[in-house]
Amino acid sequence: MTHKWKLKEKARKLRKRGWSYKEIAEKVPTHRTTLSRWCKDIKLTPEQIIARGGRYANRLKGAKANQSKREKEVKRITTEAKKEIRPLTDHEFKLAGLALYWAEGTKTSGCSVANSDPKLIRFIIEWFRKVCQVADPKLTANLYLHSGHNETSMKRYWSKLTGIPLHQFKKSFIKKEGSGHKKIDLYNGTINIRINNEDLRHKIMSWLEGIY
Amino acid sequence: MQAKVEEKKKVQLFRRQGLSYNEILQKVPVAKSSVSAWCREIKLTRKQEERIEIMHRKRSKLAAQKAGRILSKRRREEINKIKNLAKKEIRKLTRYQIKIIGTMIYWAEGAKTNGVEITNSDPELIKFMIQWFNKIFKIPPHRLKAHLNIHADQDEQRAKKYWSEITKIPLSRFGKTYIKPQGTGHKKNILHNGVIKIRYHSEDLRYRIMAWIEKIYSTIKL
Repeated sequence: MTHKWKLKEKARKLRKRGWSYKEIAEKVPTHRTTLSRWCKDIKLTPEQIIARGGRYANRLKGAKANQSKREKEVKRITTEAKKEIRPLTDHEFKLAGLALYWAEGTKTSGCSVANSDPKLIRFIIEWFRKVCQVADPKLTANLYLHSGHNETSMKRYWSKLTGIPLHQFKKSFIKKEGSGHKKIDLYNGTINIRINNEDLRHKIMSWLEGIY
Repeated sequence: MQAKVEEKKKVQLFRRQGLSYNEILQKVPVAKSSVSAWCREIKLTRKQEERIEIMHRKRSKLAAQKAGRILSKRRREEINKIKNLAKKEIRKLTRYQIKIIGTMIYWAEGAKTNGVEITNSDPELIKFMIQWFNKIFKIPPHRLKAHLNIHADQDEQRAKKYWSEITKIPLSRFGKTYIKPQGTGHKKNILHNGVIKIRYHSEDLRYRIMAWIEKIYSTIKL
């Protein structure tokens, strides 16, 4: 008589290949209930289930078809949408950055923008440089991090991304653990880009008044 | 110039009474340097010294205030000039410009994962986004939904009315208000009318907006 453990191993091997319990039972003379207990932890891939056939397979097939149909649909929406935007003129670029400043910039004192989205930050820095003619040495930054973040590597990451040299990074604000703050895992923290120029803020705020 | 003997006597008398050089000058018309030369040897009492010092301090404070007023007036004029110039630079917006501005605001404040949602407390910004929905997507206010986010000590009905008037979203389209419980250690930013979230339930529309953002970003030469 073959050892039970040998049967179990063989059964698990077959199961991993996607065999049904009925098929396994033909090769491994064991009751289907036992087989199912042995292989409980083995998850079949959707492809395996579909290849095996049966009612569940059909349901999955339907879901997969819907999924890929939706994916195609989203792709179509995205492609069409991109055609609706043409490259921005200088004036449109000015308005675009202004809109970001409206949403994320300081309105009453100083002149700064905070965000965690690297692309948005690059956009607004470019705007400060080109539209507001801020000279690079006037740009400073500081980070908002969690206590779990490595400050030095975060500074390096943002410095590389923004082109702001490390010595222009001011003191980081580090949120203490368990202070009741909601913890969203913003992987690279939030950066605050600051320009030391009150006149610039007045100018930006007046551009804004022109919008609304 | 011996004729100043009388004056010298008077000046020294006043000084002994504790008057400051300026006060003496008002009574005896001589040069300040003469007063100083005649009185150098006269020691004032502690009390007299204190009185003069307080007087000096008051005067210099007044002078500083006056200087401040002039400066801030000049500063105000400067700020006004900057403002007027800046306003002129923004002309009336075209439809395409509204589209771009709204998309950028969505980038900053909108939901990236769940339907089309925008959250803010600035009434002007919210008004702009209502206009954006209306003009760019032909979604009128009554097709949008709104949710408020207020503090426990704020009046929910009043806030709803306020935002309904601004957004033109009918009160019946206002969903459940989230009320921040008191004293949870949340920063208490007194946003008097709370924060509003406006939403339109369409994943397709969100994909479209996200594609716009991507395209705008990709066309900027960085």
